[in-house]
Amino acid sequence: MTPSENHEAQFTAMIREHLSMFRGLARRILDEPADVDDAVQSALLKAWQRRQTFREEAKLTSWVARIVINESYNLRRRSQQETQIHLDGIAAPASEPDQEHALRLLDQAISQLPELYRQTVHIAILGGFDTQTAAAMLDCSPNTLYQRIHKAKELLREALKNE
Amino acid sequence: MNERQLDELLELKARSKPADDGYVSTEDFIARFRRRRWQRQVLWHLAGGIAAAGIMLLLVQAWRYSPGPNAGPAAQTAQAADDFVEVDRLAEAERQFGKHIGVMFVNDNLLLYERQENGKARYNVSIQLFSACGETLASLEFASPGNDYIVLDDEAITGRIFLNRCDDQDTVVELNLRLHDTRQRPIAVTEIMAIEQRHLTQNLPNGTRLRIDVTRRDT
Repeated sequence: MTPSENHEAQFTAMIREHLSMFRGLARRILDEPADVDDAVQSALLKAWQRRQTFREEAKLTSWVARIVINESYNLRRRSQQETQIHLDGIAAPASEPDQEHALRLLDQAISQLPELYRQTVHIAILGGFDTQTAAAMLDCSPNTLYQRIHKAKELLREALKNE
Repeated sequence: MNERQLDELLELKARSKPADDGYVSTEDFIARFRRRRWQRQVLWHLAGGIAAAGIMLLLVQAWRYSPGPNAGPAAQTAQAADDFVEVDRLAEAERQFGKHIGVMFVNDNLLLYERQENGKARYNVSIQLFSACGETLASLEFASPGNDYIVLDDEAITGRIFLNRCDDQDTVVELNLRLHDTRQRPIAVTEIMAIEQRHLTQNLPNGTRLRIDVTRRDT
């Protein structure tokens, strides 16, 4: 097997094994499955271009997971800008259930966090991974991860303090 | 919002995991990823190819019109420049696009296709179709490892080319092609031929003439 074929096989195996996880991360940010797949595809294309810089498959997977989150936010931002253009001048819905309203505000607050803390929220808090796995995915120690979670929550409370 | 309320809200968000439906299958996802990767690679190489072709054109033009010590044979120099571009364009395109992408000139227009055979291209294959009065109707030019199976699906040309080398001299060529001639008229070519001594000229039932040359590369 040539090095190129070897990379191809490893990369395909990585997609097969982790596609569900990548989609899960993107699905918390994007509503439509088609958008989710677009974000994952974009992240994988970036990863493919840099595949030779990652010697360990685990590092590549973690990196892709983080890029999936960024790509999902990029896609959501573009989509919201387009929607905004179409909805300008149309009044917002009169009422929204409290829970949905609170979740929407939380989403908004998470999206405005710095990238490092946004990834921490998605992987370490919402992602359902254990501490070791989340720390490995975020390329930091468990202690650093705890500090980041603490800081992320502090920033979220600050953003939501008037709600 | 206090700490407990935020934790409850995050917990709620974590529990409200969206359903995993509406996705394409993993294999379809991988196929789509490969297509996008390939398209991106082609675009990337195309940009490089255009830049390289532009530079080459500028160099050839500069060479062609520069006053040399023997200004008299300028026409010969210009002809040499044309020959240089003609002979090298296939190799140059291959160099730009890499060994995994097939390059072909269809009526002098560059066409890219996905190679089925990744062996080193050792032969240049030229296929020309002439009218009864000798006018060139269409031309194809590509490089091949010898045994080859090419699937084309483009606006300019669709179909298949199958090459099977029997020995160093003989090749069986199977063509099943639909393309447009230089005047944009549709042409269909469906032939199976055995080429001896590396070239063949054959009269087709519709009065046209097909010429195929399989030339071994120097390196």
